[in-house]
Amino acid sequence: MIERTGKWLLGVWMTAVIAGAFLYAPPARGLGETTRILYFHVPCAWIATLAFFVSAFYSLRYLQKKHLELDGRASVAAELGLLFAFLATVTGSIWAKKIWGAYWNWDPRETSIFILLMIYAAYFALRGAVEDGEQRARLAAVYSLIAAVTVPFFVFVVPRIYDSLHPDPLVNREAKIHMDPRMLTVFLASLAGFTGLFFWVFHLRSRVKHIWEQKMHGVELTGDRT
Amino acid sequence: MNGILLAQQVGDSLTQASPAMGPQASPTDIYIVLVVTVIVWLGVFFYLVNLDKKVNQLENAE
Repeated sequence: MIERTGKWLLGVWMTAVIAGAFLYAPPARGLGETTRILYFHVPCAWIATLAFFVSAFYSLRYLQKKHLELDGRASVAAELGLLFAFLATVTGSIWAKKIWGAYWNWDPRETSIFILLMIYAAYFALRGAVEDGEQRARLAAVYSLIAAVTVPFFVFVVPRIYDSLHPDPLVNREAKIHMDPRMLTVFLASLAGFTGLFFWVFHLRSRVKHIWEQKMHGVELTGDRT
Repeated sequence: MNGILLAQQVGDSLTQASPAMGPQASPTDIYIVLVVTVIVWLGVFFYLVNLDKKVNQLENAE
């Protein structure tokens, strides 16, 4: 019942976020109406980061408990992380064309997300290259943990070290938030909504993967269901 | 140097609101984009609700 209410609440919440992004939040000086990408592009990048950490969390749990279902969840989280990183790249690129004049400029943030995409694409290449389920899960778990260590470096450190044309992140180099309060409200609401959406899709995809494994391979996966 | 100044300008632009719209933008354009975005979101949302229901049925049938 709570789960069902939560889903409908998310539906209303995200609809309100979209309305707020277009009608309540003002455009920023110099960026005009393209500012509104902020409420969709940045949450995509945030969800990618979160998903990569969730993948690392389940990879660690797999190495501790050796339940294949935990490996399945690590894989699903990495899959969603890759999807949202791709969406952040595409939306950012469209914005870059309008503001910077080219779809791709090898700006530090663009370079960082490109490397992250490559790292997590390699995660799936690794999974696809190993046939034995246990061995695949063990190798993928170790790889996911190592990959997760690079995520904060590429997402938070590199863009702050090198000069970038990219607008300041929420918390800038002086560790302060410089954003119009109305923009900040919609932005934080969007981050919360996207986070809820991620966990819903993650849960749903994990359940589908569980059923798929059972039906297709007759594998009875063990492990706690949440 | 120019790059740093431009980055600063773009960074600062997020801190201040401007009521001005682009010269070719019509005031109603934003509503069209809003309606399209809401329709896309609601489509995805109801698809997910439906998919969730079907997965529940599959799990209960096992």
